[in-house]
Amino acid sequence: MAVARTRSVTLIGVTGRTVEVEADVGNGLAGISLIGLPDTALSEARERVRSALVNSNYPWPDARITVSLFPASLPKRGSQFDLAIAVAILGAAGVVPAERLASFSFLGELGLDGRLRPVRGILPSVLSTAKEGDITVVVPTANAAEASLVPDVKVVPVRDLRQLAEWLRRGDDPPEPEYPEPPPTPTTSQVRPSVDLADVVGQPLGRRALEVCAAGGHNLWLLGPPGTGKTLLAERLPTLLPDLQLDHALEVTAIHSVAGVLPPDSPMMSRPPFVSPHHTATPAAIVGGGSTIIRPGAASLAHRGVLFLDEAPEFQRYVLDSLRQPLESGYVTVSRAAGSVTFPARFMLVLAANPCPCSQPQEGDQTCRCTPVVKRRYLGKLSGPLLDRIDMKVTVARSSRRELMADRHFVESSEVVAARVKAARDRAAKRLSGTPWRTNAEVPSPALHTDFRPTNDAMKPLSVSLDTGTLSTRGLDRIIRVAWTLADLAGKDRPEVEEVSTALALWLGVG
Amino acid sequence: MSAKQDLGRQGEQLAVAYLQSEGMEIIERNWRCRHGEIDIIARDGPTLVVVEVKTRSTRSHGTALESVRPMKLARLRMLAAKWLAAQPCGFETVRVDVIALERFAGDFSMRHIRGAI
Repeated sequence: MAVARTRSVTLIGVTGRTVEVEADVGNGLAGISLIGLPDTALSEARERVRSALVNSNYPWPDARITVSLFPASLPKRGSQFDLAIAVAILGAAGVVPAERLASFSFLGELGLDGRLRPVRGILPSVLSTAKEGDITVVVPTANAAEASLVPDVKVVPVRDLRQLAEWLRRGDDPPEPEYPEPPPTPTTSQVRPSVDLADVVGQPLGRRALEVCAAGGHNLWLLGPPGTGKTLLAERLPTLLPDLQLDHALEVTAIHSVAGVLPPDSPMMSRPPFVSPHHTATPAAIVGGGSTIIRPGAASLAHRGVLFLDEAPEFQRYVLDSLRQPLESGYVTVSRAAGSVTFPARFMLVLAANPCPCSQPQEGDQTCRCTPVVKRRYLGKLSGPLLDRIDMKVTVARSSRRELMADRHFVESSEVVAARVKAARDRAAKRLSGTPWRTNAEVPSPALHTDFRPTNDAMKPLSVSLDTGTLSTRGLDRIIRVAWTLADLAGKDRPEVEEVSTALALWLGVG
Repeated sequence: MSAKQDLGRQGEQLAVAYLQSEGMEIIERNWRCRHGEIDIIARDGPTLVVVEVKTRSTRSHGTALESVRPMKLARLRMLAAKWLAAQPCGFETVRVDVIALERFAGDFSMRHIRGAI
């Protein structure tokens, strides 16, 4: 009768925390008790583990079994502890050597027949284990590809409990994976090949704004009557963005893993995500929520990518305003009775809106029937503080036949524009090397006014707006950021008067 | 008498012999009232011991020990109170024990859990 100890990981938001699993097989009436604040799914582990052990032909100890999860005061959720509990009981019962278990971390849900089932959130769990030091992580075969994305950590995929226990008993090399090692190749499934910027004819300004937006990671508001291509434009923004760098890709993949929306065939999200929630979405759907398990919302799923709110004034006002915190800080904190969780949420916000509810053309014979009050109320849904955080506001107008014909000669494919965006991003990254930021949109205000301040001459166009009070301090920062991006796109070393005035015009919304 | 009852009686007989060898004094066996039955009532020094004996011939329906659930123990406790109420003398403490017997190839293995509750 003995105690065996091993480990597993519980997730708080998208960060993992090591949980020690202890099993004590001792004297007393036969039975198992599981302590350490388990939730319902975890409490049911007792039945799963028992059946899995018995059906794998291991004896179920005819004794009093106590399984404890440390730290005891931390609420633990989910079924990923099944494997650690089963192994700890086997260790305490003397079936596998207990002293071997301490150097492993076990993740996985057990089927009643002893097979291992995949669990969500493997990537962030393994990431946090990797920080602990020299630990081997045992995961279900189905999760092996996701787990092996983490550099410098030894992952052992196992198929079922018997295979694992026999390996632990023998103490030799881990079982060979029975599948071809999946190469963590970048997948391009996110980009639909049918979508290209060249489809948007007649909106040269919109296309240019999209390019600037992609190059600097800025936020964009597209205002215009229906059918002019606002949605078309926004959907093509991901095609202009470069692939995610490895660390960003891991962050994005971790969030999607926790949300359980990772595509099974492509474990690594190497393309920036594009998330377009419906306008009936609740604040919990946008910023994240849930009463027991706090899940990331659309803003976090769009981390390092694009959050597109089509028909933005149709969203509830408080839903839109809930985006103010992540827009400024790049993360979102969700507080619930169960605790508060911080999710990363640095996304590019793209809003699309009609000028009024009826959305008839403002000029010509079919005039708009909306009264000024209705119009104001409609766009008033987009609050001042929210619009203050939008770097570029672009009016997308209906184009005439002639404009359409002429613009046909100027449209460029996404590939061409993406190359320019890449060049501009590289310039910015080179300038920002040695700082934690990679795009102009991320540079915080203090740095903008010290290291990255445009010359006084270049700032001249802003003085009038600052004097009259039409420009807030935050607005000023946003203009300087866009000006830097424009300079990067133009291949200049610093923004000049031209870039600053263009950025001002984009911020004010007079395209 | 059926084979099952026979097995149970055999197990109880072994349990009594074991308890006596442990120095306990058997007060009563198979005490029944309308709420249930106590297999063995014994005295262990100043302590009243209520013993549940469980005998199994196979493990196909689980072990003998794990077939004694907390509810059964709670019932024994209640029965012990009923039995005590009818007695002239009292005891300092009351203990509920479980004796689990399993038959393997004609031989018995025994486990004794003292103070199950």
